[in-house]
Amino acid sequence: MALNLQPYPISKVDDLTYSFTTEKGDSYKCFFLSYSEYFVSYPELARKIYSFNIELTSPPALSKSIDRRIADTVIQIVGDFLSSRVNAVVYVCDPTDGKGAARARKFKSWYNYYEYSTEILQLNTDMEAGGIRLYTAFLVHKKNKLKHRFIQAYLDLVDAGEEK
Amino acid sequence: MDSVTKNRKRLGRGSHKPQPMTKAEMLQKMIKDQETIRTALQNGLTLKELQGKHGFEFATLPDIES
Repeated sequence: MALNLQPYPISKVDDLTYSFTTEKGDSYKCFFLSYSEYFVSYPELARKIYSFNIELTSPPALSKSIDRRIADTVIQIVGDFLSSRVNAVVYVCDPTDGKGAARARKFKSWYNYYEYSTEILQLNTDMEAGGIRLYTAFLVHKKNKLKHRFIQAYLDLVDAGEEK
Repeated sequence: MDSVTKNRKRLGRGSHKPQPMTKAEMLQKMIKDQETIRTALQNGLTLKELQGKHGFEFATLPDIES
């Protein structure tokens, strides 16, 4: 990766899971969940679309200071996943604790920094239905040959009717 | 099987295909799946165990340089 990132050391827990631990002792697990079920209208793409998930798996450190290396580590993991130019990634900001918008801003800021210096395209949108509002981002490699089709699939998902 | 999927299958009974999810159901499922996975990880389950138990499908990851 061309960027001057300073990610934390990333370990593979098993074939499905990466993990890393910050210098403050916070441990995270990262993985990609298939979103094929949401893209049935695009069978050629459905099995290539995943949601990125990052979960804190240790009690949170007391310090609330910003740790730039967490962003660098996420950028490393997601960038590596997309570098095959086969897959695309949806990031869904968990709204259940009322911090969905804050997560969206944070994720967007990470990739605003990233987008212009590397090769990942990011779209940020909200999805809303039934009183639920989800902040989402869509990421695909700019040299992915199916880039435009992926984007169309994502926008169709975002624009899906309230009720079918 | 989660409640959204069960409900879709129930609604689709008698036809060859289950009913498609509404957008609201889709958003509910995205959130519910995140919660299910988070709880399972906090309880010490692995993603491999989750795949078998809940039918989730996760990407097989390559080695990563860091």
